[in-house]
Amino acid sequence: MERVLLEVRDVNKAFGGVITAKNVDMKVMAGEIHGLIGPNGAGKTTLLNLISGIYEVDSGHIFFEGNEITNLPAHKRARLGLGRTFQSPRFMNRASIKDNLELGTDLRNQFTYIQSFFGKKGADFYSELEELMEIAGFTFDWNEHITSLPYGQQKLLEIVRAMLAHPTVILVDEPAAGLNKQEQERVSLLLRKAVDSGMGVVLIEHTMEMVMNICDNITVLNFGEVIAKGKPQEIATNPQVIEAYLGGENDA
Amino acid sequence: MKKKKILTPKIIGKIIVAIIIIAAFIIIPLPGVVSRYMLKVYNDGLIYFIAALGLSVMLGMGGQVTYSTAGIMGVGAYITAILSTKYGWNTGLAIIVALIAGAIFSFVVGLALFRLKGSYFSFASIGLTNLLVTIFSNWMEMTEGPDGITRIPKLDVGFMKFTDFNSYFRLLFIIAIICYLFVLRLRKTSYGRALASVRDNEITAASFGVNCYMTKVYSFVIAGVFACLAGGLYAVHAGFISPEPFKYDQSAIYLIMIMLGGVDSTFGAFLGASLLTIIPEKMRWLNEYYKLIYGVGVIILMIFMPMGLMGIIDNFKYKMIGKIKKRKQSNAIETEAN
Repeated sequence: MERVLLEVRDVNKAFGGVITAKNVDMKVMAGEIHGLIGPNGAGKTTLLNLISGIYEVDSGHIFFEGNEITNLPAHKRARLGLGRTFQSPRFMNRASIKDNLELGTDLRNQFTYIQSFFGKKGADFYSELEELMEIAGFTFDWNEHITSLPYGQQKLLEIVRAMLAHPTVILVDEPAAGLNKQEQERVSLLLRKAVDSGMGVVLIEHTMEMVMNICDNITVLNFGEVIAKGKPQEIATNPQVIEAYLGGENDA
Repeated sequence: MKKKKILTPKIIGKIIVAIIIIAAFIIIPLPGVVSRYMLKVYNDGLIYFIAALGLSVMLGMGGQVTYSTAGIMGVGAYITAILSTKYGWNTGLAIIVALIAGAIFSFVVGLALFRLKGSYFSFASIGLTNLLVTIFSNWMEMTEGPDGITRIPKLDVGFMKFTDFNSYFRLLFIIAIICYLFVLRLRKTSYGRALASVRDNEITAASFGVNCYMTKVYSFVIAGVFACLAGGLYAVHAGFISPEPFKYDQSAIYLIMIMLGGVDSTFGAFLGASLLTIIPEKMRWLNEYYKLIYGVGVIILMIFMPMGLMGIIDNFKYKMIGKIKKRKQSNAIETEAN
């Protein structure tokens, strides 16, 4: 039987009069890339923020590996195994690449600050990093500042950093935006690597070719409401989705 | 991507710095090397450096601008002075109690102050310093008010008593180095990274399991303990304290020390503390114009060196490293072509 890693049940959120999530239901299974698509302003990133705990839900429930996490703060959800990346890469801009990557391994190790101060070492992550960087397709001098990397590499490295934390589910927000074809391919390979190792992935993306190729299931949002769910082929032919999103985009 | 363990220029640089430090430790307190007055100035500089190091954790690593350094330093100084003069405690023990009290005080106050964010926190820290100075100035039975506490005994740690500036120099030098190494180590720990992530983006920090609120509170505790240590040492070194050096404007000077030296550098705290202790002494001939020049200097600093002296050095270093890398790459290409 498939294991449910993440479940969003009847979640609602409004900012003033603007409804950004309305009775949203979604399930993410182990080893699944779950696409979350919809037009701009549909509430996709808001839903990721509700899941990761950056926003509080107005009503509804969020379950992670069977346990309710609705009222947990963001940092506790991260410690449970909810990783994420952002639309624009968010790093410690005044720190080195090494420090930024170690933020991911710190989350994996979860040592106390005192243990870390006295030099407690986690499992060696060099080999894991090398494997991931081979997929990402570039190398770096990790004593360099993170800002020395080009935008595309920063986006790839953000996924690598999230994976180094060994999360159970990764929420990935528009990883291919602003990337060239080759880099988009690398993103797909990294996400496939994540699910192959048993993680679940929630993917927000506007590049339909990528979504249709790598997603196992898709949820479509429009004005905060789920308008369709299913396999990529079903979504691609769903008249409601074509009208609200896919068709609109093609028309444009 | 793996670290190469060879004798790099960085390691050679560190060895040279270590030799300079050891030489300074041995030579400066020798009789006849510097005047008694300048030795006192150096001692004050080391005390300010300890306080500034604590602030560098909050400001440089954590991005939290606080004006409470001098006020909390006053807490350490007054606890040390009161316990040793009014209750006859050993001064070494009094400083240890001041450190513990400083940690508890900073923790409790930090819990309240960090309910506020950004500039609201900074304004509240000004309020805290003013509140503390009001207590120092008006709790007559304990603090002797504006007249201050006199005849604070010299530091006595049981097996050793510190009676002159030379012995204080050695003690303060060792304490300053221990504090420096502590902060340096802190930067390399998960706490250092957590604090840096809070500084750069709280949402990212939380997404990587960092409890932003408590991380900031802990930085306030570390800064508070350093400030109390500096305060206790200040009291036993000077032998007299009044509310004056613990006022808000002195807190601003600690901030300038960090900004001048370089917010991102632990060594910058040393540079800033040294320059802001020694420069005023060297500018005394300017008399009433001293503060004018000083003020203009601070404005120029903020405009042209936002990352401080160490920022300039780091930029230069990165440029040089970049040039060396490019040269190596072009050499490699040429060799391949040949």
